[in-house]
Amino acid sequence: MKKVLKFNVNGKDYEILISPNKTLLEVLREDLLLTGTKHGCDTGECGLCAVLIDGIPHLSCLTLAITCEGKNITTVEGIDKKEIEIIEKSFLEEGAVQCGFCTPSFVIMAKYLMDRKKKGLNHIDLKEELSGSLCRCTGYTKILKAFERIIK
Amino acid sequence: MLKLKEFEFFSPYTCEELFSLIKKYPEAKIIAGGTDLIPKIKRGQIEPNYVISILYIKEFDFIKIEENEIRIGALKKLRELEKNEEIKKIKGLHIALKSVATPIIRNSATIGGNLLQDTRCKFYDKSKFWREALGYCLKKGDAECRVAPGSNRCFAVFCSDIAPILIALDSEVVLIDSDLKEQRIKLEEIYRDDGINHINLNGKILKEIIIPREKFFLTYKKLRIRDTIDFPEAGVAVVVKKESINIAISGISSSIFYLKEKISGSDFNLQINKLIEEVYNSIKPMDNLYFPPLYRKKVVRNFLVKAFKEFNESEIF
Amino acid sequence: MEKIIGKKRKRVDAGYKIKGTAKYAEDFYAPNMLYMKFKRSPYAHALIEEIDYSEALKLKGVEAVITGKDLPVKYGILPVTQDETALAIDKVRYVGEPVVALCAETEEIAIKAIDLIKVKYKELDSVLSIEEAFEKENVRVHESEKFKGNAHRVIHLEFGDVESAFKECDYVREDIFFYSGNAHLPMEPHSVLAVPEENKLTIYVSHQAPYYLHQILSKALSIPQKNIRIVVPYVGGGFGGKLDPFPEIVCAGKLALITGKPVKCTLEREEVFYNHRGRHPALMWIKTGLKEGRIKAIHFKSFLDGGAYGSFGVACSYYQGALQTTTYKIPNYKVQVVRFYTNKPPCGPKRGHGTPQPRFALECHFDKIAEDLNLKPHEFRLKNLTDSNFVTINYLKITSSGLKECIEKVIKESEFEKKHGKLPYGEGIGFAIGAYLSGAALPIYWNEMPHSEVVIKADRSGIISVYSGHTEIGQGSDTMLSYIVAEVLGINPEDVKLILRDTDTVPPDLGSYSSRVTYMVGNAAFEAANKLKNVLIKTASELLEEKEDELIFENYKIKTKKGDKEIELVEVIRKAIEREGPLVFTGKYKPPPILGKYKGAGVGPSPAYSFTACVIQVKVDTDTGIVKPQKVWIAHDIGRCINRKNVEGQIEGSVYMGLCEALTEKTEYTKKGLLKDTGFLDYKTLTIKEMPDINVYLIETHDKGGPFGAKEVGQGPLLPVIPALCNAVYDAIGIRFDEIPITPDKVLDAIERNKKRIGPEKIIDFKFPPPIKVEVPENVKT
Repeated sequence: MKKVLKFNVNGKDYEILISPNKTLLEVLREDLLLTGTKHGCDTGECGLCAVLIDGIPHLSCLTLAITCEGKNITTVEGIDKKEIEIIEKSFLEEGAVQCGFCTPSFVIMAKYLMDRKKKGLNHIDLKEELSGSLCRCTGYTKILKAFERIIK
Repeated sequence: MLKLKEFEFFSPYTCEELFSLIKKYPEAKIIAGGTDLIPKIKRGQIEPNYVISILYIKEFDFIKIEENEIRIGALKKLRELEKNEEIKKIKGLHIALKSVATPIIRNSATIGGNLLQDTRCKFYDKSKFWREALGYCLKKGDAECRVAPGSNRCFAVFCSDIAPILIALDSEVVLIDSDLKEQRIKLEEIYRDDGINHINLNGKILKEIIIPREKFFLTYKKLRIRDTIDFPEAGVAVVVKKESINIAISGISSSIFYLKEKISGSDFNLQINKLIEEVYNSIKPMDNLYFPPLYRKKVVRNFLVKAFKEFNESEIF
Repeated sequence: MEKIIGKKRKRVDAGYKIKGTAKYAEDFYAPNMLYMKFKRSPYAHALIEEIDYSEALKLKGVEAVITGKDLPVKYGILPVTQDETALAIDKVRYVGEPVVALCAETEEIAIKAIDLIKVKYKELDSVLSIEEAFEKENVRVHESEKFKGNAHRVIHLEFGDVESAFKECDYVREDIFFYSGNAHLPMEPHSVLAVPEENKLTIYVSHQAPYYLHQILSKALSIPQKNIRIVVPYVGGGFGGKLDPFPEIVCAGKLALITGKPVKCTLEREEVFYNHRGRHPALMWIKTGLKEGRIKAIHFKSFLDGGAYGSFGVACSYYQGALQTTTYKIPNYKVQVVRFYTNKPPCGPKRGHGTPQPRFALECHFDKIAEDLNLKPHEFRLKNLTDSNFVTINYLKITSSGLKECIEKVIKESEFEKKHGKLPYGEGIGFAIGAYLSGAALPIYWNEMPHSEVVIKADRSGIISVYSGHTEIGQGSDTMLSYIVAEVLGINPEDVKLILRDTDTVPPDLGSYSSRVTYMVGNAAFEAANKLKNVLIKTASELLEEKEDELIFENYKIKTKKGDKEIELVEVIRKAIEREGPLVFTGKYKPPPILGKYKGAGVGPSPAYSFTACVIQVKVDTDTGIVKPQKVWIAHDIGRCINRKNVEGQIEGSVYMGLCEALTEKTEYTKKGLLKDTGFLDYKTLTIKEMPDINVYLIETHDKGGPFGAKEVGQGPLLPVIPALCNAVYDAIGIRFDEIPITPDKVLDAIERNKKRIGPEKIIDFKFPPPIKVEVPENVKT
């Protein structure tokens, strides 16, 4: 039986009718056509589908959309322009992007870590924080460097 | 995309609502963070018609630091636990918490969910297509176990990182029944050495975990090929208290292997060596995870040797 | 002095990827789109007796179902192996082979409908390894008249006379190695959207070679090429895994034609493993004879497990013996290779394309030889290196070579001599070298046409547009192209308008494989840009009344070198249009003709070779046997670096992939042919936590034929990583691992049982036909 889901995605309020068996990833990509969030495995093993739910990163392929009632979802498309500029500058200058398929998930993590830094949390173990996001192109070296700049 | 099958979904706000739903739909699957259940539904390993989320039952989400014990609600997210200052002081527990999956998964995963996770097997944690090509297995879809053909029980492995640590710490759990009566028992009592029916809750709900606050040495050593993501192929928890030695191991049986002994007093190192040999000879991992069984046994032995070496160096007692 | 080439600048495509606006194949949606799913074979080898999809068709929302008989035309990526059909016909050859395809209104309906299809099989005996493929002669994966049993391709080449040469040697050594199969595992799964329009089928697909795909699709679907349009958006990683004409592309096209509606298919992660075309498992034997420390002869045998179909397998087979000669002077050389068919997903090109396996064998074998001779590993190499401007015994022309500098650099920076043999037990350091092509000298379909064509246009508003068919798979080719054009014309790379990878609009390019894009597309773009530049300079010289050679292009202006006169580029463009007409120019590139004339000479030649030297330091955890790379030093002869961060990124990515192949990655199958590891959790790759520090050194040898002197970087750096790692493990714990991956259980077992070596004991006793004897090139005759 379909249910009404009221939530906010990238600053916009939505009210949609969905089946409870829909994951947040499906709703974002297929219903809202926000294709920035990628899918690589559907079972929570690769980290590509990361989005922010009320500011915390979650894997959207493991999240039932219906449990996002009343929540604020941020996808890569919804990150504030100024923040994207900071992230973009580091990623571009350090060369942290190759094929780009994992990039949105790292951008989400960058936004999350920038917010944590703003809240005054100083010790961020980058390798630990990023350990759930897989990349096949870069070998992670430049991604790490880009993050080191972002949270400095 | 992998699609979840259709199901009816409920999200009760209180225990009463929860139990009334369970009574109405006894085969319903309970979901918390979903990090264990959702991949299994996607692969057709679990096919629920009803799913009840307990995420909205606020009384299950708490952490209380008291003088003699730490009380944690089953719905506490692992990530929140690992950031808690008191939990950080219990180093071995902190290590175990941080070793579960990845930080992003730990944002959703709950401690209760980790303790009640399904057992794992390389013949079971596969897509429907793959399992059909295999001919299914005893745990799901067939009468024959693929790991131990001819066996009358399932050998799927229990791979929680938190359970061995908590058992080694002599933790207890609070279960709540449909009459809302609470029962407090040792954590190890909820586990059964059977790959299919490994959780023994008798229709009760896991509400709370209680960790005694004492002086102890604690370490957790996890065998996996990578430093993140992977489940334990052997998760070894060693606790030395003033008068006892507790060893608990996940990833090598369908429940948690544990050994609790009083310190004999005479020759500690002799007792330890005997204990390590006893553990090595007792554990019987099967060939149903990533690494071969004999290798996992050897690493357990090496981990125990190292753990006790660390204990001796810590001079805590 | 160049303004853009070699400088630290941003990639032109990265901004879109960071903002999430870059489109990949799965991001395309079309109205009334149908979803396609496959019914796959559960058997490794079986006859298809009956397919009943009547129940599936009855399901509301199912639009069409096809089986093998609907797509009977055989095809294959290589002209010599046209052995595939999109859907299995008569029999299935591996678990996961597609048998039925259907499309429905929603993905959910398609999934349900697949379950309603009933296929009756008669199971056959299967062959699941090189040994089984050889021994079980009567179990035939394909009926092949040419060779006995399951041999798909047999190669026996001899250059010089190895047996006589061995007799003159004062030292001879032989070793056996095994290299496990593995997968590409691109982050983006294969995805296709086939849209039928009036008189045309448009295919949006994640692919590395749209040009080849275009021809093959036309054949497979039996419709003319002019009625097919292929559009490739950004590709989320390829590594060779998106080069073949995959079943989902052909079937989506067919179903789109049948239904008249768009058909979409994105593979599940497990299905990507069934497409496979990954690293061939290789069982290798190598024998080297030396006289006074110099190589006199090498005899190399390799047995490949090719999986169920040909794919690029024949090329991979030839590559097994082709590139050893690019790093070492080998005056007598014998190569014997057999590629077997087996009942597993087909193997094909993965980064390195048939060269990582022999390079691993060669470099570990040479590490042992150096030890036998009491030489440091690099000392032995330095005694036997090739030079620049050198023709190898198998007719490969080496142009520029920085191999010696690469070796010296990593040996120095890593303090190798201080550490090798001297670190405490459990810590070790290892060394290896490698070389790779900058593009194959021959195309897959042999002809004399250019390999790359580029069109450049300057329009009235001053926009410079470049049309190219190459594919951006993450390696940075869009950026390389923009940089070259921007450098020639004095503009910013971000302002080069790129019109790319649409077979309707752009000229042909052979695609992203064999590391050809920088060299070949770069050269074509350079030529096109210079043709435009020449016309503009002529016009500017007339307008400014200055000699042409006094003028430079800088910052959107054409100015005199003295700096006293200048004119806006757009003005010159407009004037040139007035005088000459539209400013549209083409550039092309075709490699120089190959030197060898023997059968097999077509695999190996390249207009230029890159060279790499690598040192890796490791620590072995003796409790668990886990090998932990600590630090990597890698020097690569890039010819000329076009985009520094990009080049470093490719090298670091190669190190990562090499470490994964050496330590964790393997595609293994159960006794019934089921793939053991079907996802990211089970198929282990290194994460950010395992990656060591990587020190990258770029050696620039300014290749005369490369665009601005550039050579390849996408595949070469991978090659020495695997053997360097193995050699480091030997230095750490005194155990030779002659098979990879070096998994922790093998290490712990070897340590506990005091083994000196872990590896295969024997190769198979294959009876080769007599060799093709090739006359040795003049300069090699000694």
